[in-house]
Amino acid sequence: METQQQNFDSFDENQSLQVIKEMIQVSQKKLKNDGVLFILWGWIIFYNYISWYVINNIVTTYQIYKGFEYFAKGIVVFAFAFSIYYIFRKSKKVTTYIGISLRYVWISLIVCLSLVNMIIFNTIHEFNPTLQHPIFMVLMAFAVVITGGILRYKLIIFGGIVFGLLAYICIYFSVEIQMLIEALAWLIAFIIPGHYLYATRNS
Amino acid sequence: MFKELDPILHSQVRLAIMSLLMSVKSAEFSFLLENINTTKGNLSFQLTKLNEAEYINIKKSFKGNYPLTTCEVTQKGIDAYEIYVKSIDEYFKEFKNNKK
Repeated sequence: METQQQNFDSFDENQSLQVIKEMIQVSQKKLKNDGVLFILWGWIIFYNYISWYVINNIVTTYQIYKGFEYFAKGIVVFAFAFSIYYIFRKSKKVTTYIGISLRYVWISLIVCLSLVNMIIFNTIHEFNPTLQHPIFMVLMAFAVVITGGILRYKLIIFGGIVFGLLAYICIYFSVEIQMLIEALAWLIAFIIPGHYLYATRNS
Repeated sequence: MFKELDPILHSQVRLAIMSLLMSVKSAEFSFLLENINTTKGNLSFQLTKLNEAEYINIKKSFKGNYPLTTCEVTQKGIDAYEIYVKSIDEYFKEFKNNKK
């Protein structure tokens, strides 16, 4: 009976404004990006580039080299598995337009990276990381800026712009130094904004 | 003259449901229950009312052995909500003018 009663209870304009405000706050808080995937991928790729630089420029044993290599591959596989689980778990109760848009951006980025890779290989008929690397970084910068725009988060947009500028700077350096520059780009575009998003997720 | 408010939306729980659904593509019953201060029975009753008014679509399916209810706002619902918010806005503007 009480439920029926609640249905017919009228409430005034001030209360309805209050309800609208409260629900907007709830959706802003609950659906806010917590930056977990930014942190995860940021640190993993950062580690991979740094470790790649270290094992290729500092004399190590074969075992240490292989150890680094397998660990780097292992954490990427883990990150993929965790990302799928995390996205699935998050979208379980609610589907947002932001989530759908971001999915399109990042899936199409992966497809574009593969296509660019094939185009380069079929044009110059060799694997040229010095050229490939800055092009990949530009595409990544593009996706980061769009992500920042969708999330309306200036720090990510700024990170994406820096990512693009660093891609251009890369062309003046060897692949080894390019790896360090890209590690820096991931730090600026993913790790810092990710931690900031995480720290302010409840505010 | 001040517009009359839509009686379907001018209810605490129904307005809360619509306000939440406006910001998402779709939401499960459990998400609405978590965020709206009401009982399961009342939420279900109010969702049926909104569905009858064609303001929302309710999809019923199964997740494993458990029933799953997913709600999505319709274009008619979006229009009605926009008119409602506009009316509230007008009301407050009128109220301010009268105060002056």
